Amino acid sequence: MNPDIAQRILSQATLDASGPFLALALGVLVLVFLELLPALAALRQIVFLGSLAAAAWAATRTLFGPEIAAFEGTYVANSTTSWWALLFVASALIAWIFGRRYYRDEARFEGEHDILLLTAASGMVLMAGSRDLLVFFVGLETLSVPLYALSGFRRARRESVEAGLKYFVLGAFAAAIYLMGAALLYAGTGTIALAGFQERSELLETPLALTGLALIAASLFFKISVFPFHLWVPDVYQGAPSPVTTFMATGTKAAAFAFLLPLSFALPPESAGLVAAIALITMAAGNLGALVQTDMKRLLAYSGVAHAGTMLLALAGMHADPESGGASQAVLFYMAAYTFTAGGAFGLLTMLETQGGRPVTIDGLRGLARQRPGVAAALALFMLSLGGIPATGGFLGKYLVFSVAVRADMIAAAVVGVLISVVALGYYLRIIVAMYMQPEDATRPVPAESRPLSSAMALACAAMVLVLGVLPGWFLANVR
Amino acid sequence: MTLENCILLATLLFAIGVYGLLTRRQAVAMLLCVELMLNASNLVFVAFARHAGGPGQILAMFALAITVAEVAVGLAIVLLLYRRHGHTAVDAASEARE
Amino acid sequence: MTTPALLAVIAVCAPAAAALLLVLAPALRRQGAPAAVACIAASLASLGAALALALGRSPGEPAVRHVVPWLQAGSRTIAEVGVHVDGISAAMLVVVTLVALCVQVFSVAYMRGEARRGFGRYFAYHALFLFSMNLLVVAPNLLQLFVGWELVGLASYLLIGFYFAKPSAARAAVKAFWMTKLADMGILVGLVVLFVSTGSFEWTATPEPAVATAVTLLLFLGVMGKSAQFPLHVWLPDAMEGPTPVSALLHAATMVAAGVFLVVRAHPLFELAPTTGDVMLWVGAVTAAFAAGLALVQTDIKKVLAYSTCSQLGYMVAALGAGSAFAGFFHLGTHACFKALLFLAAGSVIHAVHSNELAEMGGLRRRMPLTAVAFGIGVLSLAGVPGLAGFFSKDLILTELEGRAGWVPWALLLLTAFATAFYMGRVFVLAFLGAPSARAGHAHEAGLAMTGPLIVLAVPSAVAGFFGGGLAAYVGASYEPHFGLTPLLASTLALAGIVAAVLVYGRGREVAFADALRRLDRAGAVDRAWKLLYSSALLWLSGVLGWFDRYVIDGLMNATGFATLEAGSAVRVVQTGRVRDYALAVVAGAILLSLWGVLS
Repeated sequence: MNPDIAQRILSQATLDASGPFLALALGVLVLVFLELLPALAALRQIVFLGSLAAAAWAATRTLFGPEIAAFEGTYVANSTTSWWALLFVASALIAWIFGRRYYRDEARFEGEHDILLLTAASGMVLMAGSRDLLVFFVGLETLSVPLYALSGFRRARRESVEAGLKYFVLGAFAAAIYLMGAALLYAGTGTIALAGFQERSELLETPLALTGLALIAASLFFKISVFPFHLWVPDVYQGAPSPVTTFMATGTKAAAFAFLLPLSFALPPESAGLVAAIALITMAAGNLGALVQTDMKRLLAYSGVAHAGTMLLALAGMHADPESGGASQAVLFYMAAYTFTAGGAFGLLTMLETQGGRPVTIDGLRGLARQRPGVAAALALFMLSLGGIPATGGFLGKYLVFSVAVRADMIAAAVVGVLISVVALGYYLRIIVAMYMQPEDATRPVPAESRPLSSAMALACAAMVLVLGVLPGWFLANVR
Repeated sequence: MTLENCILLATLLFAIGVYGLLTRRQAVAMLLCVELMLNASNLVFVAFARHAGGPGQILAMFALAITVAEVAVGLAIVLLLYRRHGHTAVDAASEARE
Repeated sequence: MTTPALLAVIAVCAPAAAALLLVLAPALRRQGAPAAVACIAASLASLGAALALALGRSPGEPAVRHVVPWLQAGSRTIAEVGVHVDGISAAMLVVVTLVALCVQVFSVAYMRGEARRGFGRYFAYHALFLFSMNLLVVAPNLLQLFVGWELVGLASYLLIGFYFAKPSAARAAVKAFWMTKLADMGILVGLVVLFVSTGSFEWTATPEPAVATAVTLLLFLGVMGKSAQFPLHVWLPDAMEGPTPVSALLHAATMVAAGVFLVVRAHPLFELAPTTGDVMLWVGAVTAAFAAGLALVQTDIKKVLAYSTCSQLGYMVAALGAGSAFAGFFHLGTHACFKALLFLAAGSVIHAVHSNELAEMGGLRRRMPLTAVAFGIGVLSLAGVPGLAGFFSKDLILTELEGRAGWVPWALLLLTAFATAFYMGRVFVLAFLGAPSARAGHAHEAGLAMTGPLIVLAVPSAVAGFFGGGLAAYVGASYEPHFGLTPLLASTLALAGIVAAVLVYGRGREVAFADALRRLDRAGAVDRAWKLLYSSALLWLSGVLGWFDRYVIDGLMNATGFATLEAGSAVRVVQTGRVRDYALAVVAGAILLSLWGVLS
């Protein structure tokens, strides 16, 4: 290899920039190695957690510094990407902890499970930091391929296999659409770097490039589950193992948004109206869909669709927002609040499901407040946060997003959005009513074992939801 | 072959892939259609790199490698479907809905 | 931190500490009695701090502020939290904590029959409520006020649904939450618009006139929900499903008045928007008259008081609409005292008779003389009999309305004054005079825990009016009771109303007039309309979307060249569970996006 190139690539800056990714990737390799030596199985958990901790530590090193570009500018690390990385680490940790003792029939494959989870997390980090269509594609596939396998991880269960298959076929389809979009964009502009698009912005106006952009947008919309690309979400979320659903709901969406934000400058400014319309339709479709659900995971899946729509509204306002970085901050904060809220909610469902041995329905939650006051209180808090009640993180996220829309003079869209989100309170409240105001479900089994780790995680999520709601000052001051 | 023709061919391939994906029932056939779509994009990459330079060749290489991994996992899932449901008709695996 | 600020912080934090303690120490809560002690001690501390704060201020002293930054973006502070002590918040703190303490002491006796766990839970909610309400009262800006506003809404929801085993209570709680929540979205949007146009959440911000009108209208939407203004008032009568002391505290004296307080607080903002003032004037006058009409025909004593609350809140809103913040605030204060008194006295009656129905009462004056006297004072004060508290504040409002909007609101409110006297006279006659019913025969006065608060509240209900001038000077307004034509008319009508009630009901029976009115019970109609909007319209919308999914989208797919789909798929829900259909939606979306990109 040319020593010049080697020197350029293997520098301290590169190491700093790609630290979180390297930590996760290294963790994956060590875990694969440990799979070969059954005697060392006890080390697995330590390696997994150590790898996450190392990634978090590496991310905090670039949290406040200037932007570092690596690999010829195809990958960057700045404050925003570091925050995203921390969020992905949190998301993976939540999913992993709630997944402990969940897989009874598949216990002997738990090592594989951890490897896949860590690989997916590394893909997310790569997606958030990429400034180039190829690096993003690598990240996208590094995230998606393990998730296909994880969705079908409970191989003895028909619904899990079905979810894995559906996710795979549609995910591969979306990946193919993305690649075609990238190809057309490349053919239209001659570059695949975001910086290159900025330099040759006049070339973005050609039909070829516009079609490419539209295809890329379509595939990203698929990942963040926007109407009409959201149809897979309820089926896959419901069928996939609950810890995996937790991870998908929080992490995948975040990773796709993390790239969509820097990419969106390439979208023509007049697309703002279209994006806002899609956002509102998505909110309506998600909330109305959730209104008629009885299965909790399915309900939260539809609610996740609605939340994706809300965040998209910030994206729509990004161009016209006089406050630069406002939309990015709003989405990041919203996603952080959503990660802890939805992560905690799905996690609690995982706990209840493991103990009951069957899917959790709204009826199945009746009278939970008397049998398990702690679980019910936490779940109620998460529902209130999802509904956007003040003093929770969910409220502030909504507030920031709607502020972006208002600043961008999209007041009508903001008002409609707020009204649609009132509909959502209907079903969140239904859950609280079931837990607190209805007679108990006598058939619900009493938990045989305590799960201190999961309980602690739920408590941590609840604390984060409140901290983000009550003391967001620090985050708002430091997240740009 | 001119660049226009290449892109036209790729578009045609892509469309055939999409059409196949929408009409085929068998999981393996759908997988093949996705492959067709992916290769259509690879064709554009390679063709454009030959005409105008740029990183197209590398792109195609990366895309090939990644999609191989994807297809491997996909086939595993299809195999699992066959074991669990006794067939590989994707449409028949549609118990979750509403 | 200065002393006033410290006192205000104590007033807010004492109940917060009690609430936190009761949440974190379930053992304490489940014991019941210790929870009540903790809650009442906290309220006592709050009241002490509020009194020290109010008495330590001299009239006209400038406001004391102590704030810490809360939301920061870079070096800029978006919002602060803290306390803002001026005449208005100091006076309001005293009213809130005084009524809250009375209600909590009363509750000790009233809720004695509850299981111990329920008892503890009840007081935990009360502590939460007092904390939220005080947070709202001392708020230095509209954002903190809104946070407190939402928290009192939550406490109200929990307390209405306290008897959650009763389906009607659970339904009422949800209904109240929904209605007020819908209205609160107005505040949320209003705050966003205010912040975007002025860069602050202060009520002293000065946006453009058009923006000010928009913001105040949006804020007023929230006020209509919280303060039960027509047509968003329907939740309040239902909220009577909660325990009676709760109705006294939240749904009569304090929480529902938060809407009025918001307008008083944001008065500088509302002054910039005369259009909003006109809207408020009309909404308030219509609510006052309409709710009074409904109060005439209720047979449940609490429902009478609930509609009466709507009606009186209408007075306050009309006063605010006429631009007189002080008149609204004055009436808020006197109303808080006498309405809490009326509710607690009603609670005492309900506790003794075990029924809410007026028909089951009667002749209670002999069995419960103290309650009868207390209720009587409340009735006379609410009716506006000269010399009592309600007289002064109500007449101030009527005087302020003279000549506004072609005298119509003035006439409406004057008419309402007569109706008010009439329906309150009716309640008093039916419950306390006449021959006792079977149930009322065994009723007897409860202990000091119940009668004590009645006595404490009866005093300000009677004499608070004479301090109007002092209060005005205290909050920096001016007030001089004047005895012109309007007060003369109003007090004549009030007395006439009472006399009419005694004449009509004195023989202890309902008359045809009420029957005729009951047939016109329009509350039922309004209720049904809402139900239609909420359940049917929403379900309808969701049905339409399903239909749209099923026929239009699928039909469109078929029509646009995807006819290769097998025939059976022509009519199908989009959410078929089939991968191909999902892929089809993805394709359609991608094609639409591309078309838009290329064609636009």
